[in-house]
Amino acid sequence: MVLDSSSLLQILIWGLVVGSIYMLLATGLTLIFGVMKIVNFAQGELMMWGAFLTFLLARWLEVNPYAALAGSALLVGLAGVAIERFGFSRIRGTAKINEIFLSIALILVLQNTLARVFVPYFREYAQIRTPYATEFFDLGVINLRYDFVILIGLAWALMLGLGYFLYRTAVGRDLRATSQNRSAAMLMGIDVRRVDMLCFCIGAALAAVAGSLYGVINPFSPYAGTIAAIKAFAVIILGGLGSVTGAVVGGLLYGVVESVATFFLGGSWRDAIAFVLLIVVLMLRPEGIFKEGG
Amino acid sequence: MANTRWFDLAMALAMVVAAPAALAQAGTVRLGLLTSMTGPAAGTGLDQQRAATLAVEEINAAGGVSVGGKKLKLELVTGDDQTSREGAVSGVTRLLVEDKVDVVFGGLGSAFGMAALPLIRDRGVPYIPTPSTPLFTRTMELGPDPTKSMVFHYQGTGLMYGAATADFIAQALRRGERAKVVWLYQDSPFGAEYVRGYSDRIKERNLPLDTVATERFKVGETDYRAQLTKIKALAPDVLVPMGFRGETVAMIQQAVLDVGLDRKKTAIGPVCACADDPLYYKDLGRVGEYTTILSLYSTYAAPKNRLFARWEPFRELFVKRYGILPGVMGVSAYDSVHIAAKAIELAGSLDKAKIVDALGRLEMDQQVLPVNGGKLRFDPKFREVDFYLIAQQLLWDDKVKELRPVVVWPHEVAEAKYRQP
Repeated sequence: MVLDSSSLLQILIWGLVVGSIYMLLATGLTLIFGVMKIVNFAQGELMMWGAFLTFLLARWLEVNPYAALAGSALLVGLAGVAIERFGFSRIRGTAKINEIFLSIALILVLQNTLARVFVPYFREYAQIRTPYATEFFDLGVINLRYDFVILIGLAWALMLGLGYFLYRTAVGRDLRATSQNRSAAMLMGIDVRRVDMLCFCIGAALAAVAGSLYGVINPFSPYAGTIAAIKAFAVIILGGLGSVTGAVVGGLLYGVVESVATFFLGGSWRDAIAFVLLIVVLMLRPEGIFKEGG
Repeated sequence: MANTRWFDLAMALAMVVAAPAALAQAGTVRLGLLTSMTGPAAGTGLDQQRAATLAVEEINAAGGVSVGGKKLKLELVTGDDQTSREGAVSGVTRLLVEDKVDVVFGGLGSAFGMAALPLIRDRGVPYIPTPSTPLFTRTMELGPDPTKSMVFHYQGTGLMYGAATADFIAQALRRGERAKVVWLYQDSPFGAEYVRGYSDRIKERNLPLDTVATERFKVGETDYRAQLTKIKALAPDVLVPMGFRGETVAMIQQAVLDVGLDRKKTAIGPVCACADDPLYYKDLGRVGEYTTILSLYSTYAAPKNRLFARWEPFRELFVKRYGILPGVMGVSAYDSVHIAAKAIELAGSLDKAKIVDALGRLEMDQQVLPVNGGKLRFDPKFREVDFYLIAQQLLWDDKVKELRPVVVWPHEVAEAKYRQP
């Protein structure tokens, strides 16, 4: 298969687009893990709830889906706070298996509730329609839909905003301090309970944004979050557990590798090849590309 | 004395518990619809349940089925396969053990039906599956003699669709010209059979079609851009996107909008008949203009031919009752109820072996789905039905702001010729 310049450019763009979604999802996940040392397996289901709420809000309020996305992120963020308060905070400090089972229970509850609401109205799939679905940028060799540019731009704007929040604000500093040493942070007067809630809120909101952007470019179902969450886990292991920089680099790398592998090896390799990459990275650098807290 | 009293009480209780089941057994014929009522395919399962309900009500309104001189009413019982193999096993167990159904029918996913099959076979219950994979009737491991199987497949199969795809491309789409064809198909037994049916037909009829690439995707995958980028680089004359409804919509939209496939050079279709559903037309939008679709039952078209005479009345009936149009899977469930009822009458008994025998020798007027020659029968070798497939081209209708089909193949029922954009 000869790879011409337009195909190469398209493949890289598809990789960056899907990588940006992984990046958002994985950042939320790594933030929760970094601060609370909790692995939230239900991140994929929060993602799909985000997509579904954006779909509904845009339709009911008759607003641009990108505006509806803000409402969806807020609602899912609040749901994240509730999950943390009434779920994870109650079992904090008990056996790790309790957290795992709580996560699995959340997957089933969130997925089945969504399916109950979703299926009678939309059958198997729904897609978020934006006013820009047939608007294109002419890049010479290819035309690029506005939605892809908005997706990448929005994802990066959020990452930069998160970076600013974490490294330039007092609350962000509290969050990083809690991540580095929870006990010391408590002794320094940081309200770690509030940090936990905030962290879950941001993580869930990022999942909602990831889901909404996914829903703009792909049809989605209540079940589509599971495989996306598994990939997000692979991304944070690849990038380094608890490292936001690692989630960003890992997400993009994962997206591009997946896209290139699908082009050359076929769709059957789409999921497998990225895990091959993960194994290779872990063999060479067991701590991931970036160390925890990077 | 005390023991006798306890025994009498236990007997009385047992009779109270068993009586409703016994009465149901004696007074009704229980048809078990095994389909997806929850999980990703629940929407289509609901379509099947609604259509089957209509058929049951129709037959009951006409007095029911004649069994041994008595008129018995039909009762529809639904077993949920939960869109999973495990769900299919528990769903069919309920149908067989608890509901004690006389016939099992329906279903969407071959894998789920195949998971339920051993249990159905163990009890010798007649089974009319409606998923498209011909595994049900063409897998030798099913028994020493497949012709003695109790499975009667009522759905167009991947092999049929594949063969029709080759015929349609050669005859109508390319009109005998040599063509470079590319497939983007679902990596599943259904997809594999579909492509096999297509390849076999090319060899069998020496059709001038060169298959230059066969790209696959996993079931449920909705991002095909990388494969489509590769396909675009091959500049094919025809792209055949093969998948379920949602997958097909995504493939076509991504091919046209995102990857920028040259529509003037590359024809898209025919897509699988299993995608023909009201939502397909709605979801695809204008992007799907000029694409083609195979159909066993069309959501909107009504060719003027006796084979399609029941399409319009069935649609009206369904819309009147549920307010929405039915899909092809619903229609196959509707027909299956009529087939089961007819076979039971022919058997003159609820004895399962006799119903199986009756299904084997059944010959009746076709129901809603069109059959070659208009007579519905299961062929003795594979117990499949010889369906009549059509191909439609989708054109934009400004009045309804949606795509609407025009039948373009086979020529004896075609309303227009295929048009390249």
